[in-house]
Amino acid sequence: MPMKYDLVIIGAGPAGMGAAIIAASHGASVALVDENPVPGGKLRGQVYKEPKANWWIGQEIARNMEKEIKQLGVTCFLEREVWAIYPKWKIMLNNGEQLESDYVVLATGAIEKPIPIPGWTTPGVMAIGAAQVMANIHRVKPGNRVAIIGIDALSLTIAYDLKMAGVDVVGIYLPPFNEFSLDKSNPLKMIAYLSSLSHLAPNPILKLLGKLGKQASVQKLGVNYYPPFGMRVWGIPLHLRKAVVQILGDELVEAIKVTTIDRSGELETKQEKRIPVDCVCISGGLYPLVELANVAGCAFVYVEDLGGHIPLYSDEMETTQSGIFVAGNSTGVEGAKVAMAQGELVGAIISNRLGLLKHGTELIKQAKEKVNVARKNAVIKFHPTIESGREKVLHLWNEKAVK
Amino acid sequence: MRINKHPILGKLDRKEICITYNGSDYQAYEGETIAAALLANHIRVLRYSEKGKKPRGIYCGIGHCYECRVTVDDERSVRACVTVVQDKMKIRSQGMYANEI
Amino acid sequence: METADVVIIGGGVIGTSIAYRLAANRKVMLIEKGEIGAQTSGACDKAIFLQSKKPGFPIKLAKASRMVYENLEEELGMNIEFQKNGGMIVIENESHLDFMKQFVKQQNKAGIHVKLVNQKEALAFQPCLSTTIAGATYSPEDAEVNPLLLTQAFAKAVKRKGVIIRRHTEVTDIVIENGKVVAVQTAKGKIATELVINAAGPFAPKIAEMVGIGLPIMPRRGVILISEKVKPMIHGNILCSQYIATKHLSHQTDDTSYGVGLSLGQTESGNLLIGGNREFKGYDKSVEPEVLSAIARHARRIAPSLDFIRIIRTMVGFRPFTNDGLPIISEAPHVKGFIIAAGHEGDGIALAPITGLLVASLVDRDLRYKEFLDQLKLDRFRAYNVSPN
Repeated sequence: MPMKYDLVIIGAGPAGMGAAIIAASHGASVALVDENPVPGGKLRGQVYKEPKANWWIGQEIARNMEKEIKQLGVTCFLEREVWAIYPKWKIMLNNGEQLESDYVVLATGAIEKPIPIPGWTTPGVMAIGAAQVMANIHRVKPGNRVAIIGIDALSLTIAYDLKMAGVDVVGIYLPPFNEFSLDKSNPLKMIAYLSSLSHLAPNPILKLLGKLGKQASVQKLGVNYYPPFGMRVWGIPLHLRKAVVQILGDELVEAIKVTTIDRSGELETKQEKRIPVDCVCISGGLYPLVELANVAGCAFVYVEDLGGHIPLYSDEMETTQSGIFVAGNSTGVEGAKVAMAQGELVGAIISNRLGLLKHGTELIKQAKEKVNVARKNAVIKFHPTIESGREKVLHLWNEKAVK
Repeated sequence: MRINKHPILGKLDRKEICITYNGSDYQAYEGETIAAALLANHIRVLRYSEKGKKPRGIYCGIGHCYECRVTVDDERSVRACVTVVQDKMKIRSQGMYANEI
Repeated sequence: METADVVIIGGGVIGTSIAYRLAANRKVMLIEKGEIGAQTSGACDKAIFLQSKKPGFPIKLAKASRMVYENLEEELGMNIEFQKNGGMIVIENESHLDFMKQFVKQQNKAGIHVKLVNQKEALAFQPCLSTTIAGATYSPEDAEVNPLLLTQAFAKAVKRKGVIIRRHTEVTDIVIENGKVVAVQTAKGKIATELVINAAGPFAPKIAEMVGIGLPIMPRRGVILISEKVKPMIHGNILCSQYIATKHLSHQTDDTSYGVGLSLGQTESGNLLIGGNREFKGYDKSVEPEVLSAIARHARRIAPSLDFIRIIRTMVGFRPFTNDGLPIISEAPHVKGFIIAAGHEGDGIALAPITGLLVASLVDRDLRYKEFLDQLKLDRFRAYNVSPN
């Protein structure tokens, strides 16, 4: 027998919990589903210093939200996977349970793109996000000597996390060029990317690189003048002219093979160097996790600025399947604060649809404004052109609506 | 491998329990995942690929890639990265096809 | 405005196969509303069955296509996992035995190497089968291919030949002037062309509507369960006689639940593809859990060793059904420059190679395949037999 709720939220990260808190506080009966044993999602791994403020400790924020959820009587279905969504709307869980609701929020977050490199399946190689989960959530070092491949906001943030945890980070390198790494293997593109890092950046590495990237001289001279031996940021060597071409070791990671990239961007194979490590973290960037939207039959659009394929959504965050809403990273990759604000917005919109709000229009307007403010003040931007991506989606939605 | 002291997150204070991996006993902390407990005990190899019998460990760490599947108390293909350890849990590495066992 | 000699609508196995044959001496553009091979061609099994085809013209067509497969891998320069591992049709109960005996006789007469085997022989060849089956038919001529690789191989080959592929581009209109095609309007711009090929599979009627043609093609939904990887346990591909009955005598099925009939195969990487069913449900992709269970139960009854194997996902596709089981490869009446190449239902993979050649022949107006094309014309359908059943 299906269990009926006013609202079913899939994904108990910052977006899902944000939506649950708002809807439940207005009196909606809410079910919150997550495959993890604890709510919080990726928020639980975040630790950084906010500009001119205190440390942002994701675990504490997640714990507080969890408390609030419990006080508000939200029913949590943890350690459950959703394997299907049937109209209109039945949510099937892997242990045989069924939930039913007119409104569903998909807040399934994002996942990392892998970059295959020879040797990448060897135990000891992991996605950069896994290193963060291990170090910050479980308090286990992903390795004693760690090499990071891929230069982006996430990998630089986690390099700092690892350093704080007492891990020896031997260096941050480029991936070799292949079908999956593309621009991530190009030193010039990476310098351009660094300049997009915010001056508000939450850690010294990002801040320094943001400044460095913005200097006209560096951008103009580009990779030619970038020292081939790398530079140290907060004690971690950052190599814009070196690529890891192979990960060595049979049963476990033993070393990386590093090659210098010459001025024209080609690998100088004569200059290969073997560096012993016991762990390699690969960062290929994040993309929205949207399988369930597909399962539910939502229309999709491809928006590069938001991280790739996303379900088309309205300015009320509703997909083309009425009653199915989206919030958080599954709509485009941004920080936890934006995700939380999006969740709250969706929570308000659905509460209003349920007839639970007295001043719905006003509340929704405020919630929308909160999303914009969070976006504007974001300390990390995963995609520098996120705002234009959001506008693009609304444009596509309006186009579709006209039809 | 444990990060007992962290400049921001403070001291680690969790309850110890005991798990078994491939027949040997290991210490684990209540509330952590199988993947974390094994890594803290320097165990990285969680399974062998069925076809080439090559070692595999955790990759994504958040339940998406299914590289970390292990057998838990006789249930096959449980994801080590999203499954919490329980006291006296019996965990085994995998390396065989379902129709090979 | 962009121009092209020919615009192909649909980037599935049919559209890419056609592009491959037309690209030699033309500027070809292929328009796909989503990703290459992401609809029907990406949600099907991998069997190229000959023995299950209807005698007469359908077998002749299938054989011609099967011939093209012989050298296709080499021609496309990519591994498509084409293998000649034979195929088996399991006869589950005695009641199908007479019908299948007759079927084998008929197929032999049509020149297909297929024989009836008893239960013992069937089990020796396919140890996964149940000891309760009545027997089986076996043909060494049945083959298999990886449909995902096949479509990608065609797509890569056409790119090498200079074909322009536009993904995520939806066709919104086809512009006609004086009874002739003059342009294709997409969501991203207009393309001037005098020749359009409608290879949109189950969506072909929507495209044909743009030029005022009603196509007798209906989306027939099929679902396939995909298992975890397992050690090789299926030799070639397996169907059940129920499948043949569903296909050939739709009025005589004894298992009416959701049109379930077994199709079972194993990919090179070890996953089992467990099908399937045939249902008319419009373009609705949400397959009820009861249907999934029915397919699993049916498969497990015929192959009990599937019992402990995990299903890791399912895929749903729409097969472009026509009510005589043959595709439409035809110029449109009344509209110049509009060719239809759709309606292959479950035979899209088997017939993709020949479809490319047939369309090329139609465009070139040579008479090489006249005999085939005469039988695939749109005007063979009359108004009264447009709807299924």
